[in-house]
Amino acid sequence: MRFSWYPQFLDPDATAKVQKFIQKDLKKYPDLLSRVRTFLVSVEKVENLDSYYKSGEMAKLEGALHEMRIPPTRRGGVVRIYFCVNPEDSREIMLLDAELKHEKEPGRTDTANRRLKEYLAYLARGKQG
Amino acid sequence: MSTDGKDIIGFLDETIEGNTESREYEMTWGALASFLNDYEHLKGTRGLTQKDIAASCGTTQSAISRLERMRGKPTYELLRRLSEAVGGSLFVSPMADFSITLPYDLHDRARSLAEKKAVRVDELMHAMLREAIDNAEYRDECNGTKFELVICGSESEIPVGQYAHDVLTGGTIVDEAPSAFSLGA
Repeated sequence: MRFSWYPQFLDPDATAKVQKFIQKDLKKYPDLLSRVRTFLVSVEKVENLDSYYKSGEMAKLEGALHEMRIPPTRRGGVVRIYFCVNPEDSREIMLLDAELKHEKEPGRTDTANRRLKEYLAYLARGKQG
Repeated sequence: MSTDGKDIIGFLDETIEGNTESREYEMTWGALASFLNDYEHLKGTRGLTQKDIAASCGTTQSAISRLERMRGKPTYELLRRLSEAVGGSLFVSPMADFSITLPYDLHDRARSLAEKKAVRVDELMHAMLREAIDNAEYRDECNGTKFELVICGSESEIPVGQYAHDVLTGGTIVDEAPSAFSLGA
């Protein structure tokens, strides 16, 4: 799989949200940083994500929104990366948002959903244009 | 802060490298992160809980929880038992650069191919890797000429190993012969 990140498709020079999360939040947790890297390296090697859904490391949320759970459960918080698969290229993953999520908090999916809509609208415009 | 054309793995590597604490952590515990990644995958695939794992390993759930959070220093024996508890087996090697784990989406295919050929999965993998490297070298020797397989109208030897045999007995035949493949005279 290949990774792209929001909002690379709109403006290659704009701040990448997931990148900001890594630098601002994840950097404080070397163990999670290491786990996230290892996880993404393994995802990069596959061409089909089914086994990650089966293992619970990925889950489908609403609509085209999905999440990576790194690791699936962990006392002290887990990393959630919200993403969608490019509907025109099933080997491309668009990383929309990420957060360090604690057990009892609901996931921050509203921002990811808004970005997802923006991304899908961008793809639709491309088809029309 | 822009992506500067970097991919996320490159960016993570740069972040780890650029921070002393993260770099030292990665050097010390990177292999454990990799172990835990595979362990979590097997654990989730088999629907196991920390409690199940603890029972299999003869330890407590909190010990498993600590390990999964990369706290403490797990012993070789615990890692071995954890591997078995999730249905795998422990593999340790000082040759990390030359060791690979087959991508998860290929596991079922590799297993079924190995069964079909009545060999172990690792035997199959070694044979396939050797063949792939032989073929890649051969392609380089042909000055990067693009081809799938070239047959020059005879039943002479074709020096590309089992791959050639498989293609010959059921694959595509392409005729655009680079000179190195002009065999059979």
